[in-house]
Amino acid sequence: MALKNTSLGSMALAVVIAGIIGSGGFENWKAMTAKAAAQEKAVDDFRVWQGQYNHLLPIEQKWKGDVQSVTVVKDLYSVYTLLGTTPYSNPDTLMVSNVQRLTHDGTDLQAQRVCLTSQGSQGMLFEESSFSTLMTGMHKLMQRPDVQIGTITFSYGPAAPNSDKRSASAVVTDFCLLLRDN
Amino acid sequence: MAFTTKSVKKPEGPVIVSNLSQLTSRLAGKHKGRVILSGSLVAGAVGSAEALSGMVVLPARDTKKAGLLTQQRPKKFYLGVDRDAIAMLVKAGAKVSLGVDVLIKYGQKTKADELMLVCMTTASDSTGVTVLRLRKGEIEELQDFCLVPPSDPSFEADVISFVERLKLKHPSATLGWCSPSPKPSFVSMMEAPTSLWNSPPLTTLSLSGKASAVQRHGLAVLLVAATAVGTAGAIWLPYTKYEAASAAIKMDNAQLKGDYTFATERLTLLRAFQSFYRAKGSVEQPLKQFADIVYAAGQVDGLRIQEARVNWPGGASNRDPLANYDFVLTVEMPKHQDATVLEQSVPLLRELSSATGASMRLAANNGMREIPAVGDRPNLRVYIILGNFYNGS
Repeated sequence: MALKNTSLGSMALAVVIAGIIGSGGFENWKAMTAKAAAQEKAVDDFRVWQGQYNHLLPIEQKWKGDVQSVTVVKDLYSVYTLLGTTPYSNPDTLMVSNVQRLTHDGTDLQAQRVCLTSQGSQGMLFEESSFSTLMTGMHKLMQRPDVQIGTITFSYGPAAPNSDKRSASAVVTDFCLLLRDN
Repeated sequence: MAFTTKSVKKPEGPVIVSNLSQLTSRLAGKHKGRVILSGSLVAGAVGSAEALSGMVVLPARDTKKAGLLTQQRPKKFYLGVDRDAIAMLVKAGAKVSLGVDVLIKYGQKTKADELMLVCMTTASDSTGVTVLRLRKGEIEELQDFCLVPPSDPSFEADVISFVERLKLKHPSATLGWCSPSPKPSFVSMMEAPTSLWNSPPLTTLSLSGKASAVQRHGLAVLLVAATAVGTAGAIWLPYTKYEAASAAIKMDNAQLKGDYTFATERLTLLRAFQSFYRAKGSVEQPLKQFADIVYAAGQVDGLRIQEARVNWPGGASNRDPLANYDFVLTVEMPKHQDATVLEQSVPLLRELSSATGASMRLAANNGMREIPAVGDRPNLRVYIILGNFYNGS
């Protein structure tokens, strides 16, 4: 197979064929390299996404534990029961003033704000016999992630006109209970 | 050209043979080294192969490519090999080289002006001398001479005369003696190294004289095959990466299947949940501060809290001007007769601020007023105090 014995014609043909294969192969190599790089990037993106998702997944579990589903609310009384017993509010005066979609930073949190008020009051009225009991109850209520409030106005005075008995009350404006869609 | 048989490399080195009898004994022996054909077994011709009748003519060579007699026309150089020798070599399967190829190879390496004398004993016992003119990597001239045999008494004089004639004809050239015949002691000139015979270019011979299909097309096929293999290899590497990445993403998807779908909206929602919880913050600190402020206000002598309001962070309506403050206290206290309404408020605000660390001020609108005495109740002064919680700064 020495070079001196090699046919010039076959060698020229071989060079041409090799050139065609080589150039085609180079194009294929470029395309495959680009495709492989894109696929690797997709995997990297997916892994990043997966990591963030797994990191945030407990938040969703917490959300589902903190916020009741709207499906458990059958009537106004079931809304009242969700408020708990402390601090006390009169169920007979309870009204739903507004229902809105819950959004945060422009994102729909797939939940509703059910805003409540007490009839004849500037907001939702809570009452307890002592100021400390009321504060404890309000503290407990405000810690709940499914409760949103505007302002709280405390007052301490006669429980009823011309009454010697005194009570502490709190009027909460923009008092809303959060209920998730499902 | 009739070379004497000589092994130039022991024990399995190439062996130079110059006639059929030497070749026969070489192939019959145990020596399995390469055979270098020369002497009467090989003949060369320039321009036409007619002089090589009766021999197997090898494919013509380009003189320029070989660096051999390039100044002559035409440019084809032919080599003929003894037909019987080829038959014996093919049958024996021996590796073969041509002596002329060794000289061409040597000539291509030689840049200086040199006359190389290749000497051998011919079949008729005379001394054959082939003189090669080497210059600039080429064999410019090639001539054969015949001198008396070494056993002849005039041998020494004949050789010396011959060398002197060469010197006169080529005064600028360096003379060199080349094996196989050993250099006579009575001539003084350089010797070409015997090692040049040790690695002669291989030649494949056939009785047709033409190179086989493998010889003619082997390199071309090899080139195409190598290119194809190289191309396949080059594509294979990124393809394996692509396959690995595809497999990885498929596996991950399979693992997560049923848990969630790969969507940006999903992640955005989770981020919003996280942000929502962060924004809600803790209720401990504001409520405690508010309770402290109410308690401190309750300790002020004669002061009664009418109303205490706390604006929950982020929850108050912007329409309410009082919403810009953390808390609002509406308090009443008996009137100091020797102080104006404003003067009476100054020590009160100082005392409350000092006790709680909160900054306080009177409301700009209706922030202070007097209530005249009614019955047993004395004159009262009512203040609306606005304040912000102490934030540690």
